[in-house]
Amino acid sequence: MSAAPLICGTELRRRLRNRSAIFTAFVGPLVLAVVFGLLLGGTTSFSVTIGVADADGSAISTPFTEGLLSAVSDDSPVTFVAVAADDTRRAVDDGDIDAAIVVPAGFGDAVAVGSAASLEVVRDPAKQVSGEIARSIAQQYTAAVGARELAAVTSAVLGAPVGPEALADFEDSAVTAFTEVAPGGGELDATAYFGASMSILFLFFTVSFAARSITAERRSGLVPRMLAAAARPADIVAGKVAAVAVLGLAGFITVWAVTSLAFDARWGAVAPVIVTMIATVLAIAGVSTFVCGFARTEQQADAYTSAVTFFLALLGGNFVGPGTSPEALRRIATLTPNGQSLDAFTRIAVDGAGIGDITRNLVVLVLFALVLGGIGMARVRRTVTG
Amino acid sequence: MNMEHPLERVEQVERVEPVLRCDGLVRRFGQRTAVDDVSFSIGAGETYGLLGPNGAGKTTTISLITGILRADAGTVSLNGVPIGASAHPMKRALGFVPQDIALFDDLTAIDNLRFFGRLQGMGRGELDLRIGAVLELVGLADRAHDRIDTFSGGMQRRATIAVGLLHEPTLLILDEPTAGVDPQSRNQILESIEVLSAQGMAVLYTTHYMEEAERLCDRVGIIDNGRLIAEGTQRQLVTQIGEHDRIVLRGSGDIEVFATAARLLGGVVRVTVGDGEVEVQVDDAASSVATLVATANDTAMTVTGVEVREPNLEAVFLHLTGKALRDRGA
Repeated sequence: MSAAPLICGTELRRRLRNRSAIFTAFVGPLVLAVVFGLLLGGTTSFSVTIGVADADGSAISTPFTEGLLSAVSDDSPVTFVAVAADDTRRAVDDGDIDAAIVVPAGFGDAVAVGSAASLEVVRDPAKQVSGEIARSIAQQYTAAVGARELAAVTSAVLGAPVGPEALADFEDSAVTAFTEVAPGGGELDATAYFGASMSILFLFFTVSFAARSITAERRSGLVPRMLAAAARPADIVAGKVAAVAVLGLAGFITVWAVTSLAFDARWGAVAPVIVTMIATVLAIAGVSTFVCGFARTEQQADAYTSAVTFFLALLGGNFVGPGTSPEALRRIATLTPNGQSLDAFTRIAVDGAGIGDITRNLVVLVLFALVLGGIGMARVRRTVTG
Repeated sequence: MNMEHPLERVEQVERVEPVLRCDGLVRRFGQRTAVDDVSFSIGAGETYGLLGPNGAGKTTTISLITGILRADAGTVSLNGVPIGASAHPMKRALGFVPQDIALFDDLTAIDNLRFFGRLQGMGRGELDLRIGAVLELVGLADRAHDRIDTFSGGMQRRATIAVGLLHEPTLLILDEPTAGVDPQSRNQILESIEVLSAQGMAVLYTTHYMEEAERLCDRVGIIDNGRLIAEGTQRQLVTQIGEHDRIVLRGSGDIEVFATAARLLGGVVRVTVGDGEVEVQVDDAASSVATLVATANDTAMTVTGVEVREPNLEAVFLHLTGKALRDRGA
């Protein structure tokens, strides 16, 4: 029988007695949850107000602006309001609106004669998400106008008029654009997102615990004694990593419970949230085992953990909100365990995704655990026996 | 207390399968060979001392026996069964007391014993029985529920020995178990080992204290630069290096006449005259003292003092390694 459960149990017991477990599993996460709850509590519902100004008033621009102003329901996180074209800059600067789309005068005429026509998007650099939504809507609209121009040219060449269906498609294009920006129409809860994000970051800080414990106990003679008592190096590493994983999961659950109960954060359905937490903790345990396979001293354990934590947290998107990083970085984030985890949490919260919907994320997280853990385990004899 | 002569006991135990047999153990660290073709065996009830200067290869040899390190060559057999570095069930027969305290100092003595007992595969009932017994043996029964970090150095040493004995091993390996221990605890530890040896336990013992080796060990192996350079009982080693008992007679009168007469006596190897004393090297001091004193009286030397110096392990060690056993810088 493996000695790992016994070593895990003893490690947990010791950490409970010296109270470090209390901090790792409860106090630290609790502070984290309270801080994020208080910081983000007023903005738990993601909402954007976009101003719409029609200085053109043409047959081409009016269906677009009226479509935007009338298409949005009460449940939507995006609200469109009419503003005067010459007042958009002030309204954005004063925070009355988060961004604005302006149809400039002469837009319809330019389109009609086939010359260059463009919309204006007024955005606040500090409100990236709002600006991106406005820009996306404007892009969709201009693309649709381009298609309409092409249809008109085709009609002229073939001698057939443009039908009402084409115009209806054109009028719906803005709504289509908005739907793509907030898929599913759900709300992105900032407290839940950053709660998950910071919990993962907190997990990263526990990565070095196992390696530090092993190197210290090797120096004190405990590890040699365990080895002499028929424990295998892999048992010792597995026991230590499992103990840290249990504490990490407890911390994760603490953040989830506190933000949900005290700050009304909406993480989504319980089952997929818990399963994602477990898969995330497994992946981080893989990272921890990986570090155990390479660190021969406590200093090395700290250095490797810092490097891995900073690298993964940066690439995985733990420091930025959803949708605010460039597309390239978002792709890179999928190559990190924390990126996969955050993606799963976002989909659970925004799309109402169930376990089946996040299977790919879960599989990738488990693969991270197996690959990194496997590499670490293949090397542990060298580091455990010194 | 075992009153048998060590050599007689060795002859008894070597007729049966040894508890521990090491054959041709080799361990290299890069270009350095830390253990070089080391072979020895220990029988039941025998205490074997592995002596050597610092860095000689004692702890590495022990690490190979306990499976902490893998040998590059050679085998280790416990009770006739070869064991590897993995978690071999036969390791249950092995008790290990390392140089360090090697206990969880934030847990109680009883918690430490439970942990290592369960690691050895002991059940709850067996553990309860044995924990009381070993704590009694090492004199810590009244401190069972105290944390290790509240113990004195000597008590911590005794607690770590209790862990090594918990699962009733047939071989107990002690790596400098009395280092840094107060005289009272040291004596208690040595007495415990004598009791265990008398009960039939095989003991492998390393120490820097020559008097401990002389008191406890039936046989001694001297290791230097990774090689076992000598092995045998204390008497065998002394004979092997040509050391003899020395009798020093102090007095006045005609010392030179006595010295001349002494050289003619049987069993006398060498006579050296000093200032007011004569040192006589003999094969056996016990049988020569009376004859020498009588000869001194016959030759008009007035004897005022007699000192018998038997060659000890220290002399053997110094002769073989060129270093004193407690030469920490070696």
